[in-house]
Amino acid sequence: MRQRIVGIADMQVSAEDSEVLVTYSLGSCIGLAIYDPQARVGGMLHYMLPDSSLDPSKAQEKPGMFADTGIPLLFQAAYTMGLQKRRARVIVVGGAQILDDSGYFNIGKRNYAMLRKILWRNNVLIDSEDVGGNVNRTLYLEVGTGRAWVKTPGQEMREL
Amino acid sequence: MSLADPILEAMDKVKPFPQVVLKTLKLLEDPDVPASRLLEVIQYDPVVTLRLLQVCNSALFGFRRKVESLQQALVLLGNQGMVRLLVTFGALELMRDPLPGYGLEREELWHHSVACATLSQALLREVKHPEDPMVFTGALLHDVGKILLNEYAGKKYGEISIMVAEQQRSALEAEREVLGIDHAQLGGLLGERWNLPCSIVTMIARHHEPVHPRQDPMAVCLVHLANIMCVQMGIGAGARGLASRPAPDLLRELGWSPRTMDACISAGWCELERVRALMGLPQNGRA
Repeated sequence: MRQRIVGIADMQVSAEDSEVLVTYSLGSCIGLAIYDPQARVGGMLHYMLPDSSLDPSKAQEKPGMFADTGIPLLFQAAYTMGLQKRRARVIVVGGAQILDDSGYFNIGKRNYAMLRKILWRNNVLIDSEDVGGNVNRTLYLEVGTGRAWVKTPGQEMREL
Repeated sequence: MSLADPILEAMDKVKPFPQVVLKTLKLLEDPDVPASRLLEVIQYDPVVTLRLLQVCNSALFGFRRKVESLQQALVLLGNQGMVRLLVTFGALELMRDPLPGYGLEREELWHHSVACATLSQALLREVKHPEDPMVFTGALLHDVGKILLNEYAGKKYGEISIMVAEQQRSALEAEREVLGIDHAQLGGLLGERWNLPCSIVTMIARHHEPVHPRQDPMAVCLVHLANIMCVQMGIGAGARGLASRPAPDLLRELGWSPRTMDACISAGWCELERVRALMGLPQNGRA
């Protein structure tokens, strides 16, 4: 199967049965995968930060960097390929953090909180997730089948 | 038995740092060094000269005229810009190989190091610190000890990983306990052996444990923060993931909010994409 890599602050959608969408290096970032089993359309986003009001011009240039610009864009791109929201399976991975008790380094938590807020407002439920902790993760989505996998260092691949 | 002694003996096996880069760094310790002195040093290295000209003529710089000589390149890039490119080339040579002892794939350490270096520049602007070429270089070389320690970290991979996973120890603490030395200490020693400027050696040796912004040079604190932020994002986090501890109170001392950090991450990331393109590395590859 051919791998299509989703870089950091990047997004990809696909209806190619032979493709696997993959994103590496999910630390505090969030990997969001969506899949419509009927249309066999999959999409994946790897965003870094929760809130685009930080830098609107950067958000325009690179919408995949932020949750509030990247998530709507992912859904819109998938809709144009035939994905329907009511059929979509939603998978969330990442949002980890370092060993910090001070709360200053809680980007992972803030990224996840923003995602929950956006999905909730749009009546979208999360079907499966692997978030938090101190690990970095890799997320895979098989476009032909909709099967999703997560990999952490030193562990076997786990299906979500 | 501590492994520290055989590890220190193995220091002789590490590739030397490119001489042309070391010499230019030494010259830059004097902020008023004339460009002609840098030219004298660089021009005798044909490989580096060619690479510099290739990069200057790439579409990314968008210079209108073709850059045909080192002298023209130096005028366009400035002393510091030139040295930044040189150390980045030098680091790529050292950091290309995979480091399985740390769970790092090919070029992953280099990506992490360049990300730290670009982020350090965003942090430098945030604290309104005067431009300091040594911070870029210190951030770029902060993990250089991992190149040497990789073999030993590989032999004790399981032991270190278990200590991190089950005892909530940081990767650095576990490494030090199991191997008798950690990559920051070792990197500092390596930097001394290479005769790197003293400020850079300190940034490498203390990048995990600056005590206080009032006691440590600001440069050390910034390299520490840049590293923590990159690890947090998963850039070159490797096998031990995010098991890093930030220096307590550092951000409060600096008066930063989480939003300040977000802004630095966003600025650093955009700069990193530019550097990747400059070096001909794929934008969408593993970070």
